[in-house]
Amino acid sequence: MTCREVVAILEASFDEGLTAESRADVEAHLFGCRACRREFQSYRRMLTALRDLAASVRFEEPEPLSEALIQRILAAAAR
Amino acid sequence: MRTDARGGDESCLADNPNPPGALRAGDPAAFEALVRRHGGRLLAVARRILADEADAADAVQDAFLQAFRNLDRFEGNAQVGTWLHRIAVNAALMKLRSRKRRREDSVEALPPRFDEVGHREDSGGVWPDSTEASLDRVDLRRQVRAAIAQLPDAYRTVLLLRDIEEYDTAETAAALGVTEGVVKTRLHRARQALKSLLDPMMARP
Repeated sequence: MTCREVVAILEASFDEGLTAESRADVEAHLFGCRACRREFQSYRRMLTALRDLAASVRFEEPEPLSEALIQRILAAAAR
Repeated sequence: MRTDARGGDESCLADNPNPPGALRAGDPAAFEALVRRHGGRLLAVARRILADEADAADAVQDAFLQAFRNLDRFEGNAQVGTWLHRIAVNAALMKLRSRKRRREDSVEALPPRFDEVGHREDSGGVWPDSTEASLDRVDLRRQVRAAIAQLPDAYRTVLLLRDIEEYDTAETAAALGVTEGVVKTRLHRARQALKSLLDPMMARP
């Protein structure tokens, strides 16, 4: 199995999980392919970074609206 | 979609889970309190979706006007902040659809690339573990935000709704007016593209 085929399998099974057969094929490829191992390790770490960003966005204190924008919204609502 | 602390402290007048009569009756002071209380959070989500300051400001204005006109549809058991957030996401997506198309470049040009027999051409470095002390999480968030803003609109919106706003696939498909299959494909490609954009900063030999 080539790297391209592994990527295609992962894309096709995205969000739904691999079949047992596909998983065995992918794992066999990863065992022998340093480039793909590093790629998937990095990909998982990027997903962790996205989850961290999502949590940060959820609780961060946003900067307030500018007074100009507030007045613009209020004027539009009054029309 | 998650419901969370976005509504902040729900104790003040403009945050009451059940909008007071003054707000429903169109009291300008109650509306102003609502705008001041929630505006910053709505602008933040509109900025993420639109990646444009002027468009984000327009979307926030649209969102508040829609909310103001539809107060009677507000369900009393929801939090005002969550309700407004949803309206702002939709207003930003509407703005995105209405503006002149841009950032529609494909993500296909981004790696992974393969040689003629199907092996990876770019066996680049690997990302460090996020638990490594050397990795500044604040800086990483800043870089991830900047990379997301570079994604083409169609990919950025899917990634934001699924991975940051935490909509599920069906909610994302409904918000964008596409099929769930399209959402899955775009999310996969958006994540691949995001990784490619971040690799030069993140990957280590």
